[in-house]
Amino acid sequence: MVESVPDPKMKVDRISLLFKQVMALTEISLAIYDGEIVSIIGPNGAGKSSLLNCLNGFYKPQTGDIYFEDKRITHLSCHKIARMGIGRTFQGIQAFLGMSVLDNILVGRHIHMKTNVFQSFLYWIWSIKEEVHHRDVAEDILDFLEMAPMRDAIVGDIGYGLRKRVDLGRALAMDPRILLMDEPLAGMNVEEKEDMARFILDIKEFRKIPIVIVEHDMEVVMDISDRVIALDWGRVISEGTPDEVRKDSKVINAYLGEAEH
Amino acid sequence: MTEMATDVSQTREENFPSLEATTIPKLFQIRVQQFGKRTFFRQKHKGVWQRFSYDQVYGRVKEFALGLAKLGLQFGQTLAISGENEKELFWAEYGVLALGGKAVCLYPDMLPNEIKYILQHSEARFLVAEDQEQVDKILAIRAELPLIQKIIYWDPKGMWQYDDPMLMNFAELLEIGRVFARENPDFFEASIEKVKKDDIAVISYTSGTTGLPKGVILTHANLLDNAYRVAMSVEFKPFSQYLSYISPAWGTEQICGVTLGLVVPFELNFPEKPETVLENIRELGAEILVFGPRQWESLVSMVQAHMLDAGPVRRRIYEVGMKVGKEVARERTEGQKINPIWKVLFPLSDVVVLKAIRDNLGLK
Repeated sequence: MVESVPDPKMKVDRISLLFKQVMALTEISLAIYDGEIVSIIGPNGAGKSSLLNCLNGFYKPQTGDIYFEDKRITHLSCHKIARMGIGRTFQGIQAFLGMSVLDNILVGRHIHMKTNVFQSFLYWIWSIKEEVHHRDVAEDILDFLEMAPMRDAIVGDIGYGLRKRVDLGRALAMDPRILLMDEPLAGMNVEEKEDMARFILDIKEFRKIPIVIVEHDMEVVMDISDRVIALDWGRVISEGTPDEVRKDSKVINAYLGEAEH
Repeated sequence: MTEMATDVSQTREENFPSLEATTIPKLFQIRVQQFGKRTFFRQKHKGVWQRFSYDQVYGRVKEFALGLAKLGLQFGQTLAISGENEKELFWAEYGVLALGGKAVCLYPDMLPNEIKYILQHSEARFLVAEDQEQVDKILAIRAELPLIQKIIYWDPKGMWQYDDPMLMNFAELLEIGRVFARENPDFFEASIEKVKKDDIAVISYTSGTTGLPKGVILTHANLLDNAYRVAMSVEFKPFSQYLSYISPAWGTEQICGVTLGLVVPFELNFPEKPETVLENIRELGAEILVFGPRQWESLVSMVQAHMLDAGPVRRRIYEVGMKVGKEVARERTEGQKINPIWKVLFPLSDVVVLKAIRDNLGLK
């Protein structure tokens, strides 16, 4: 009997990325399915962030193709890719520090805003209605991320862990159909990490979208991922459930160096 | 002597009008008939204060009660409620009282074994829990709670993957109540009439510092009488803004929020989150607060901590102003004779320091 395999949400087909003489990624292929958390791990310089940057169009691979919901997106610019429903969060803090938490999240709604500048100047029914709608969505996200009481706080005044949550909130505001997260746990303390891990699981449960995480923190990654992909020197060296990857000797070698020579 | 006694009783007759009702649900019904469209509840939702009129509250309470009746709660049986002070908690409480049931509220930070004792002791049949946190605590001890038939939660966040048949969404229960209301249009009003003043309304549990917690029985008559006495000794303006913050697990909130809120009546306001209560006091212009000593202490320490950041001159002014205020307060509250110099200084320190502090705390 042949089991029917669902179509992947996102498919990467043998992409290679070259920076001058350096092969950042070599013939990488992978598929991401609905409702799963996929983590990309690997030592420093393995190509994790480069891969993520290819997925949302910051980098253009020289060869190979990337498909999102069966549409080829390899050569689309990143704002078009964002509009298609690929949301992402960034390494470090990329939120607007001088703006309030709520305004930062509303920024993520911009791709859904329909009224133009002139209509907004008039502030007539359509722009009022639209503003109310977006505020409504933003408030749901604030509630989801347990930041509702902080809606008016200036992002520059709040702690690092909370700023990362704002970053996530902004990505969610786009109503993404896939979420890419670049080191969501970097620089956090244990409590902040636990909170963030719970939010990631909540997003999976509630929105049922696939989440791709690039992350260093092995403990959390192994805990929350459905599937782990290990990279080293721009190549996929292992792929499977967290347990399989954890035990894979190639992965152990990549992290700890060759055991014997 | 007899003349004096008559005089006193006459004044009592004049100044102390009798209450219109002898049970809480009846009083609730009367207030709804009197004030229908006026605001009764306010709660911040999505950053905006939402109003709920008497009519709307009545509608929800009725739906809740009928839903519960449909699920099988009988006269005299117990509903336990666990959560922060929110509109759903009050709907549930007024709802169960209208069915002639008993309400038992639990502190939201109680541990499962504490909850287990109270639920067993009060023979709770149903439980209304706020959210995932509260539900998880009950699910952990459910094997030891054979009487519990349903757990009803009002905040579905995080509960997407729960498919336990014992769980039910609050909205779903209201829907059951709506259907039941169509089939039995007079059930709710008839059930209110059946409740008598000496029926048990609430069981309030002691903290259990000396042995196990003891269930204190509060009848309708008892709650109304308490609230009535408070209302007669403090002159509340009707429709004063009351901020409901202390847990109804504490008997005080049963008297002040649940009952006095109907007696006076108050507009009942629910804070957005427990940690935003100070902001909410200011936003609402809350006129009546009931805090425990711990909350008042936290207000004091907050002011003191802020003043530590102030410059030396400001801090000195603050210290002098507070000193004057404390001396005057001592005379007012304890009746001690104080040095008249403090009274002379009081108006100045009030303007310079005390008013500003009160304003910042939203207690102006």
